[in-house]
Amino acid sequence: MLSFVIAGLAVGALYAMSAMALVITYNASRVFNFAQGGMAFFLAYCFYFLSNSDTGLGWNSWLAAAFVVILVGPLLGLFLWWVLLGKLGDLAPLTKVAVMIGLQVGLVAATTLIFGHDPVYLVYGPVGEPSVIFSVFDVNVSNEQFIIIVTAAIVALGGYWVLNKTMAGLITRGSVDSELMTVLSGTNPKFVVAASWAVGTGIAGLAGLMVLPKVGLSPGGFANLIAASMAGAVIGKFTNLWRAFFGALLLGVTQEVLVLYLPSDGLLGTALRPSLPFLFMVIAVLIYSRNKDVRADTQKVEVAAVSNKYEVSLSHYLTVMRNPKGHWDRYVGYAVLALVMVGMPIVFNDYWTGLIAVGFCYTVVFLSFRLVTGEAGIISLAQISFAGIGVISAAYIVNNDTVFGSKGSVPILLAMLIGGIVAGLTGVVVGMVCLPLGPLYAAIVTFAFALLVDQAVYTRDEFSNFGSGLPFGRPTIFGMTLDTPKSFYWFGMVVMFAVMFMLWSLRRSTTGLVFATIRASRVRAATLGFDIFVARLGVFALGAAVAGVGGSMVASFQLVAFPNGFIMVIGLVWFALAVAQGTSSMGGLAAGGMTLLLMPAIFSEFLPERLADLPVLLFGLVAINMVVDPIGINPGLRANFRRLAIKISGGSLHTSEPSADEKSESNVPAGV
Amino acid sequence: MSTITNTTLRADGVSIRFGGVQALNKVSMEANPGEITALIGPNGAGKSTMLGCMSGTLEQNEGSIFIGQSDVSTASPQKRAAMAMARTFQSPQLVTELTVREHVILAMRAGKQVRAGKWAAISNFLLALIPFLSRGISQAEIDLADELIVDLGLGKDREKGPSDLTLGQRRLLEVALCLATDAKIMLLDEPSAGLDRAETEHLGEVIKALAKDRNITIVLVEHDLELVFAISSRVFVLDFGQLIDSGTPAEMRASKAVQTAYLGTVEE
Repeated sequence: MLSFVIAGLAVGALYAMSAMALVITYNASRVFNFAQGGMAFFLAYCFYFLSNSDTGLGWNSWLAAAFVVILVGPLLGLFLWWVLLGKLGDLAPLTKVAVMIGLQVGLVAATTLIFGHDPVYLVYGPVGEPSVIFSVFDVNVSNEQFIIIVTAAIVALGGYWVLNKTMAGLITRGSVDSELMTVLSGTNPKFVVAASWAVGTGIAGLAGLMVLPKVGLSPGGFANLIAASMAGAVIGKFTNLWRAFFGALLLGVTQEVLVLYLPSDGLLGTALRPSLPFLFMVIAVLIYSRNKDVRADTQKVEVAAVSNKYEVSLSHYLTVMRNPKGHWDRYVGYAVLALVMVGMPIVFNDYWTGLIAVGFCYTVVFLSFRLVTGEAGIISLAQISFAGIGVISAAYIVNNDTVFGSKGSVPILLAMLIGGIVAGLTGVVVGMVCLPLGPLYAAIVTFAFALLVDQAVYTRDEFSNFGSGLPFGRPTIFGMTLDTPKSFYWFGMVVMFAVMFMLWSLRRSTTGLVFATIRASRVRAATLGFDIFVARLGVFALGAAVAGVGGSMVASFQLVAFPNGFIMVIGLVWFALAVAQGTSSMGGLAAGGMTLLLMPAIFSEFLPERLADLPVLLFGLVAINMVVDPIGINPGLRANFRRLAIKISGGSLHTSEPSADEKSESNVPAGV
Repeated sequence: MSTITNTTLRADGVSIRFGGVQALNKVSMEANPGEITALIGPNGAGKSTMLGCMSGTLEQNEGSIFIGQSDVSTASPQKRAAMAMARTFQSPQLVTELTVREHVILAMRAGKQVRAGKWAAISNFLLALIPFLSRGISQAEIDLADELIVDLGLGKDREKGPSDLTLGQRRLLEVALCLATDAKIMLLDEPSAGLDRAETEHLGEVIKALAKDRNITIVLVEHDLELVFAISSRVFVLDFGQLIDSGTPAEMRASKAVQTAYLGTVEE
């Protein structure tokens, strides 16, 4: 037992340090660091490059570690604060999350572009090769465990001392409570924020170096560390350093001690431990959602969400779109669209037609973002998992059906629908956990859920078919099997437009008006009598179902249900791309779905393999661009097109707007 | 909503604290159908907090709220809306994406949907997903909404979004939302702020006619005492979270306690 507790303390100490870094940066900047995994990955690669004698500079590993943690990490934090993170403070939660996910995606891609694409599995941290250094009650303690626990203790005690016993700590705590008081006391609050990013990035790097021997150097390797530290941050309600630290520590200990009591195989044996970060979050959310004060705090975030740059950009966009002139431009758009849709399978060969057909399927998945984020305003990082659940459910029922007699007797179309329904029902369960509190909780819970699905569901042999994926088929419509790229092209296009039609219909209905109200002001929606929770839950589930159907369409084209194409790391890229294009814009989401497929294909056709991650870096950068364009790329382009149409129609783009004073007064949340 | 017959709104010993601040301390008041009941007091007296407790957007620490004989103290804002309550906000809570007309149509539909119950909301949601069956905005709705919009003096701005309105116009739109839900109890939080004298007088007439003609229970929080004394039947005065006096407008005009709360005292 004691050996498991010690192992758990070492794992938990890593989680705890990482959780501390999350809380430190959130406290000072009100930005949750979704890019911490990417930062740790970059710093870990720097360490590997400096310390590795074969492919790098061959420095002493302790010197390399110190250089990375004390110098490179804080400088990276400062640099990112200077160019990006310092500009996020007053943006909407969705924009902040999108930018941070973009940064995560971009950092990982940039790291692999700089240091190499191939994962490195065997890496020693600064401690070197593991060895037993002493025993406690006959339990061996390794050098690695000892160093991790001692380092975490030093970081925790150091943090306590700095925050509670020094002037810097006093200023930091003061800045968290009141930025204005910090200004009045003669300190620039920007310095506090910058310092917190420097310190937070350094600690994240330290945790990253320590976890290296366990996970190696691969883009997804740091996901467990980040999910567990996020669980700690949720336990600490993002702001309580010590609750986050000890919550994450407890999670690590529980994960290791459970090994003693769980069977070595079966669902419980394989799924429970990776699910623990999610379960810890669920418990924390269920407890906090009963607390009136926490609910009120998250409501404040919702109020703040409509009082920011996003709303200003949106009203500029709407002012252009409400101009009475130039509405004919949509017909130009429809004509071009029809021409392109009909022309593509004629112009392109089977390979490219097939790619575009899969692009339609991905667009269906991306349209789920319109429901979940564009309509209900929910930040979901699990759309990819719902797509994956659709994939494995559809394939599983085709391969294991007993209802329809022999195997393979379930029509593929019906299987796709069942995949969507299973994904939708899963969405109900996840939604019940992630919706009661604010947008950040939803983002983190869905992130953890996506990781849970990766590790506890996709890995099961009945779904992964021992890594090769379950065979799946093409649908048969009116006796015709869609076994050519061209026929699947038309099928994908029809489904995509059917979903778009459904979403258009939703937007113009009472429900669409209700969601517009919920996004703008929950208190207004509530006092009009709308049940916000049920409405959002319904749309969240519907979004999950649409993603599930889209996912199973992808599997149908590929003839195999391969869950590894639907993992969380890829899901972050999807999210970045969807939000950057504009989650309210169906054209934008279609562009996102197409770009996701076509850009890597085009790059791989014309660029060397070592630049394979360049498209991903670009996807990250377009998400980061939301700092300047929070409503997304496509609405901006759409507005420019409409401006041109207005000019051609002889209309005026000049509008009278209320004064700045009036606007700012209207943005003050309701007082007492 | 239609089943509510007694729309008397009553607060009984309501107290609420925000941290160390006692925002309301055992405040009791009553508002009757067909009357305008005003709630006045200096800044920070707790007027909007009282409206928050009445509408369910704030949860009082002590005391009870009644609609007729029904205790709604722990009811959600949605449940109170289903009992024919609507409110405006001091800081307008409007939707950037919707025009003035769409706001009013939304509120009209909200009133109908809430009256029809939960199943109507669910069936509306499902129908919304089916193209051709989903309910776009009809000409009849546009006509009804426009009538209300013109009544409140927002006729020229019906196609504008809230960000293109002045603060006064936004407050008028808030009132329009209340009217459009066909509520029987209305809580109006400083509806005249930002309006000029003529607009304020017009608004006063609209509110007075509402109470009288439609037998609506109106609670009015207002800084414009001239408007309050002109249209209210009964006035409650708050100061530092305490109810310091209540009575008819004439009595309150003469009340020493009210004068002291507003003007302070001079030490001899």
